Amino acid sequence: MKSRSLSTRMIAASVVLAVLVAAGFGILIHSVSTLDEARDREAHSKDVTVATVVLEKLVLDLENGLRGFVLSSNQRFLQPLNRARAQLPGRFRDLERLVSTNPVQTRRARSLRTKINEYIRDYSVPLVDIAQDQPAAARTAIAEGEGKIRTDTIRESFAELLSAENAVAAASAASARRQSQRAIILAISTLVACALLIVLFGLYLARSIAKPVRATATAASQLAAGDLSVRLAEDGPGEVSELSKAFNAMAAELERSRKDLETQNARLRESERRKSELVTIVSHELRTPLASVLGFTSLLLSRELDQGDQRRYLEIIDLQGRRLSALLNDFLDVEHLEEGRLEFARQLIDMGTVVDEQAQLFSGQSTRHTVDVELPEKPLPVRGDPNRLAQVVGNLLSNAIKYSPEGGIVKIVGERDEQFVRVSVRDEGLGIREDLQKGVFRKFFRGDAGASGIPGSGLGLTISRSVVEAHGGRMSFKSAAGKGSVFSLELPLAPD
Amino acid sequence: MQTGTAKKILICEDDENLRQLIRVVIGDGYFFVEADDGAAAIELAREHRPDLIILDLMLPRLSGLEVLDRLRHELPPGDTHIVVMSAWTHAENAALSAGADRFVPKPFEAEELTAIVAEVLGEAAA
Repeated sequence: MKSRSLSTRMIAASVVLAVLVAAGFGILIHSVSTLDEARDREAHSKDVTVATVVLEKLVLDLENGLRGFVLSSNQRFLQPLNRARAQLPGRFRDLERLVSTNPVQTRRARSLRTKINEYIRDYSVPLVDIAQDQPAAARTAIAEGEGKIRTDTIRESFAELLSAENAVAAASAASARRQSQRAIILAISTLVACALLIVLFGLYLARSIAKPVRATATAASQLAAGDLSVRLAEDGPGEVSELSKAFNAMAAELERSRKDLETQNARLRESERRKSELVTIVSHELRTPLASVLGFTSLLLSRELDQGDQRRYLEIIDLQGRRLSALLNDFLDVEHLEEGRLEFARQLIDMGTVVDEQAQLFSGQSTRHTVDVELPEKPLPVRGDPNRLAQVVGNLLSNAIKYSPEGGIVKIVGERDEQFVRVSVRDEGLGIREDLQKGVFRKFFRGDAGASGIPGSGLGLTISRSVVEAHGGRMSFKSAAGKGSVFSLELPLAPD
Repeated sequence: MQTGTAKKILICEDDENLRQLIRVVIGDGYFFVEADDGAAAIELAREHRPDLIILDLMLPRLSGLEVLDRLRHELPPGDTHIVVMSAWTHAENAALSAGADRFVPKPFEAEELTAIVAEVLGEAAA
């Protein structure tokens, strides 16, 4: 499962917080405006009440003026009456405009207006007319109480309108109070939720950033201290996981390159060791023949010797000089083989002849060894370099003799089949310990030979194998410690 | 040559030419015994009780240092002197501490060898 990236999560969390805060403020603003509305409605109700009271007072003026005029016949009382009559339509308009938003109150206001108009039209105007002509009759009419009944009805209507308006105001105030309480609770809850979310968000950030960052820092310190095997868990949100993966990749790369370096270092040390071994071997291998050359030369120079001795010593000097030269050639051959600079002739040659010549050469070199040769009647034709192939056969024979210090039979066999010419050299000598066998063809490999004093450069088999392989052939051997060895080379048969 | 009174020298060297050279350089007047490996050297030393052993360190079968170690335990230093001769010049200290009288690096000078032989055999001059 791919975890969503940390930035996405942070943005999402911020959006949620912003929405919550906005909602909280929205609710607060709404509740404030609700309170404003309630106050407006209250003020409106007050206006309605004032307008109603003004109308009531006009009706009272109307009534009092009428009563005063009828009872006293004094024209003075007609003034407030007439003024009230004049003002009534305007006041009614004011009231009706104020209650126009409330249909019930509007109906009440209209009914009140009708009642007042009826009172004026049907009672007060006729009564004033009557009072002008027959004051006594008018007074009787008042005493009869019709006017009072009418005005009582009107007053009731006023009371009804006022109490209804009060009820409206009270209801709206109560609703505003409820709403504002709800709004405050909601806003507080939202703010508490925001605070909680912020705390949780902080904890989440601490867990998802601070913790992995600390882990990364610890791992980096370990890495710096040299522990390249340290790795981070690759879970966690996107960026953290990317950081861990990048860190792990870096550590792996460091570890790999350190291993490479260590391997390279080991190879270098090994090569350095072999090189110093080479210097030791070369110096020793060169010194023994050199000792003969220098020693016999100084004898020849410093002593009177008869001709026979002189000749013998010169022969030794010649032989040892050649040995030195052959050793140097071996070293150079190895160098050239390693650099791929050795060139080979491609002549048609008979390996049988090569085997024969080398066997003769070596059988003269040791009195303790017998060299047996076994060759088929048919020739053993191969295509190659006669000198190099003679060098290889010679090397195998020389080894067979060197590594059987007790003497014995060295058997060299040449044979052929449809594809290959094979030459094997068998000895009955020391053999090679099994644990040393895999190094036999390695450069400067001496096995136990160095310790047991058998001379050699450890280059012969290296050179031999390279030469055989360069001819398209291969070399192999079988050996058992104490029982001797068989070394074989196989070369492609040259077509007749 | 009177072999009865002539001093006996055992030459332990695997290279035939060098054995011949040593023999010729030291000259007549000594009874030479030769060994071309370590085992033969020990055998011949026991048999002949030589006055001087010239010992190469690179020997087949038994290394020169092993031979030296064994001979030094078997033959009293006063009776048999041992001169180690080797191309391994860095083996000089090992050879001397194993009981060799002298160390001669290979290749050697004829005069140096004759002088050393004369010295260890207690002869003023050869």
